[in-house]
Amino acid sequence: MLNGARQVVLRGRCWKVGHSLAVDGPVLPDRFVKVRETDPEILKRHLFEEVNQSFAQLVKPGDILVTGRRFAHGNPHAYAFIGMKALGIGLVTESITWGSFRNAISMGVPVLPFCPGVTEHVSDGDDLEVDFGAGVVRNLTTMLEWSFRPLPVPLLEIILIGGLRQQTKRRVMELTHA
Amino acid sequence: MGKTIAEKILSRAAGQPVSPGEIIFPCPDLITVHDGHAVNLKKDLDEFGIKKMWHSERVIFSCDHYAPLFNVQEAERLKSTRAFARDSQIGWFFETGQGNGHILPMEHGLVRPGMFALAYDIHVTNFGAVGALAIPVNYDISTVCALGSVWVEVPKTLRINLVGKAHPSISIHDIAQNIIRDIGEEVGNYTVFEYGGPGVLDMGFSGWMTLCNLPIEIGAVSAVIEPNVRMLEWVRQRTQEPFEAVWSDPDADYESVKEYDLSEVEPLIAAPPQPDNIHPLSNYTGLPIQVAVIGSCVIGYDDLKQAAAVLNDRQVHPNVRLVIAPPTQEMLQRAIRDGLIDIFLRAKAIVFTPGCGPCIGGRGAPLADGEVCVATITRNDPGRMGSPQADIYLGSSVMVAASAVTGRITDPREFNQC
Repeated sequence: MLNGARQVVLRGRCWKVGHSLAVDGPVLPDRFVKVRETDPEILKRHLFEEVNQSFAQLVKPGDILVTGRRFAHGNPHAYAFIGMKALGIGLVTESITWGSFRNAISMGVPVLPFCPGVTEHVSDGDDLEVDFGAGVVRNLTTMLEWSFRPLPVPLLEIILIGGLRQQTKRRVMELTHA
Repeated sequence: MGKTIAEKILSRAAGQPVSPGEIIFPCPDLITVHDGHAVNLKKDLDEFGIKKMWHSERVIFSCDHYAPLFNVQEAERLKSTRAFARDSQIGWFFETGQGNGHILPMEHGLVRPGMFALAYDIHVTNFGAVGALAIPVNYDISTVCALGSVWVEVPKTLRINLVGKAHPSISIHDIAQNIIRDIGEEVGNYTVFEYGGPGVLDMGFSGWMTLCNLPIEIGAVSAVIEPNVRMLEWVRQRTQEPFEAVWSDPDADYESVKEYDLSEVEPLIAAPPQPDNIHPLSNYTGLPIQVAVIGSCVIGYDDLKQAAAVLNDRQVHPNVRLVIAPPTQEMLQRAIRDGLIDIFLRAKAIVFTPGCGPCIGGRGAPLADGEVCVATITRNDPGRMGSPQADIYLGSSVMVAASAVTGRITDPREFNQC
C-alpha cells in the first residue's frame, strides 16, 4: 500500500464522518484519554464507537476516513492517532485543527489536511484511492477524482518511516555513527 | 513583499527567509516542558539513544501541573523530574508552587522580544505578550530535545488592530473572547494572531497574555503582541540580556487585517463543552453556581486586582466555594503587598497555590456531579475539573467574582450598580 520511494498511496473503503468531531469523545471515548492509554491494540478497537459502532469491527487496513471540517478539535491528545496508525488507515479531512494534524503526522497516519468540499464527492462505503504525495483523491466507485493540496515531502518522509519517533531514532543513529 | 513578526522570527530561527506554507526546521532559543510530560521526555530520549540533550541550557522545566503535590506518587514523579533536570543540566527548573510555566519564564526575563520558543504545552503562546513567538509541538518536543528542531509549517498571520476604550467593567478576557468568536476556526486555524493598535498599548502585560492565550482554542498556531514602549520597558526591568525586538514590515503580507472597537465589546461567556462556544453573558445570567475559580495562565495580576475590586467588603455566597490561585508567586506577593489577599480572605475565598492546579483536573476545586462552575481557566471540556457531569463556564475574573458573591452567573456591570 505504501508504493515505492516517496509515495504514499492507500486504497480502501470510504468511512465518512461529519463536521466538528472532537478528538476526545466522538473520535476516541474519554475514558481512554483519562487513563492515558497508549496500547495501539486497545485504542484501535474503540475509535469512533460513539459515532459508528460498526467502524472498529469492519474497518480494514488501507481504508480511508473522510471527515468534514474541524476534525479532531479540542485538547490535542494523540491517543486516537495511535489507534488509527494501528489500523493502517488514511485520513482525508476538509480541515483538521493544528494540534491534531501534528499528532497525526507524528504517529505516522497519512493525512490530506485541507480538502474543502471532499465530503460532498464521496459516500460512505465508496471505494477510494488516495495519493497523499500528489494530493489526489480518486473515487473508484464513481470514477471521479479531485486534487487537493498534497502532503509536503518532509511530512511524507515521516509517514513513510512509520512516524516521527522512528524517524528521530533513525536520525540519532545516523548522527551517532557519522 | 515584506514580512510579519512571525515570519521574521521564523526566518531567523530557520537561518533562511521563509514564507507561509513552507515546511521548515527552526531552531528554538527556548524549549519548555511541564511536570506532566518531563518524565515521558526522559523515556523518549532514552529510547532514542540520546545521552545529551540538544542545547540543554535552553530548556525550561516548570513544575506547575502538580501544584501542590497531593500524594506519594506525585512526590515520586517530581523527584524523578528533578533528577532528570539535574542530570541533563537544563537551563531552568521552576519548583512546584512557584507558578505557571507559561508566565514564570517571562517574569524571570528569560523570554525576550524576538525570541523563538518551542514547547510541549499549547498555552505557551502566552510568550507573545513580550513580543516572542512560541509554538507548541505537543509530543514532538522530544524530537526537538534530541535533534534541535522539528517540522513547522510557516503559518499565515492575521493582523488585529484594537482601537477605542472599553467600558470599565469589560475585561480583556471579554475582548479576547470577542475576537476569537468573530474570527472563528475556519479563518483562525493555522494562523498567528498579531495584535497592535492603541487599544493594545493601553492594556499592559496582564492583558497581553490573555490576548495571546485564547487564539489557540480556535486552532491558531500562536499569537504575538507588536512590541511597544511599555513592553520593552517591562522586559528591561527584568533582564540585562540584550534582545532584538521584531516588528512587521509596512508591506507585510497579512492573511487579513481586522480592527476591533473596544467600546463595542459586551461581556461574554463560553458555555460547555468547548472554549469557543462563546455567547453573550446575558444568555446565562441567573444560572445558579456552586464553584468559582480565578486562576490559570489565562489571567495576570490585573485580573486579580479587578476581582478584588468586586469582592471588597463583600462575601462569597454561602452556596459557593470561590478558589483563587494567583498564577505565580510574584503575583501572589504583589497581591499580598497591595492588600488583595486580605480582601479575598475577608470575602471567605480560598487562596490556593500558584500554578495550574484548578485548571487541571480541578486541583483544589474539583467539581462534583451536577455542579456548575464559572472560571477564568483555559478550557471547559467535560471532566476537565472533575466530574464529566459538571458544567464549566469560562469568563472574566470580574464576572467570576461577581457570580461568586451572588451565587448565580452575574453581569458585573449590573452587579456594580447594586
